[in-house]
Amino acid sequence: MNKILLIIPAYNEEKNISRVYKSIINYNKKNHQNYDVIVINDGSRDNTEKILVDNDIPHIKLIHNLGIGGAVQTGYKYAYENGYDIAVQFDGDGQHDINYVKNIVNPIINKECDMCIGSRFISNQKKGFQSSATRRLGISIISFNIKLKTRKKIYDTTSGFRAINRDIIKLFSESYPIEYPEPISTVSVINTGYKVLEKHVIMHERIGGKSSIGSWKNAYYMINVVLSIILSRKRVK
Amino acid sequence: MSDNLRFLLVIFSLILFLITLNLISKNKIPIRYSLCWIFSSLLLFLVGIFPGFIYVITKLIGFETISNMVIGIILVLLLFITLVLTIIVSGQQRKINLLIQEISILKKDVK
Repeated sequence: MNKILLIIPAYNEEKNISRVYKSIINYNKKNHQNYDVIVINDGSRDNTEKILVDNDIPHIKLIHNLGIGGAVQTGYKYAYENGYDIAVQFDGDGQHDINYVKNIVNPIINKECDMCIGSRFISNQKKGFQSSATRRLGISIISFNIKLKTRKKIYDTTSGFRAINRDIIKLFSESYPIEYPEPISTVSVINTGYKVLEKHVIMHERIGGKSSIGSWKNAYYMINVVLSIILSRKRVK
Repeated sequence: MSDNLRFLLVIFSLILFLITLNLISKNKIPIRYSLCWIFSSLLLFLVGIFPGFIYVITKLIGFETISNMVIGIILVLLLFITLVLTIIVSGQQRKINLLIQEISILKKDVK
């Protein structure tokens, strides 16, 4: 039996976090699953912490805001120290659907890959939230750069819905990008020689709160991500 | 290079040197980070005392006047020091991140 941990980074998610947590608990009961949850409260300035405490949600409160990468990495460190076999990054804003966790966890249990990305773009039936046109353009530019660098096509490069095995939990707990971590960490996983797969999932439009990628930051985001992909190096396991 | 400029260079480099020594002796900065300032002040001091060799380099590189060359040297020094500072700041950022993460995980376990 694999020990599976859902890592939920939360920054100012007072509107969503308890609903997301309840959906996981309900799913566990209905399907006799045993997904553990750890919420990483990344120095929220709203009532997120109070909601976490009042509802008895297992969480780590960062003593200072770190940004999404630093928050998720805290979750990976926790997963590594507590002997989890698989860690899933799961957003706290309602974008990710608990019913699809098995789609990205099963390939890892079956040893098909070391890391599995929940992808909105690989199925012919484009259902669910597909992001805006500009965002999709950015994603395909990043995808092109990853293909150039690693010869591997990743379609949903910015998807935060990902499952990783214990080897990569160890890798990520040692080194993980602080800002915009998804595309860059995917590249470093491929560069290290691990196998990455994409599986189709359906995502929802975020229900409340604001995306961590603000509109004025888009240019900076692209420069940051593309540069770090181009400058990434091959590593040994 | 005019005598006035040489005089100024020597005086300023001496002041910079003394300030750096003072900071070290008061334990305000470690030797490690003071070395770039000590070397910078020594270089400027030498330029002020022996402008002969700087004259040769000035002609070699193609600066019009020695004073431009001096400004050029200072500019390169400052760029280099800023770059080193960026490296130091980034290293500290990493360490702070690590501390925040480890302390936060510890605090959860203690509760």
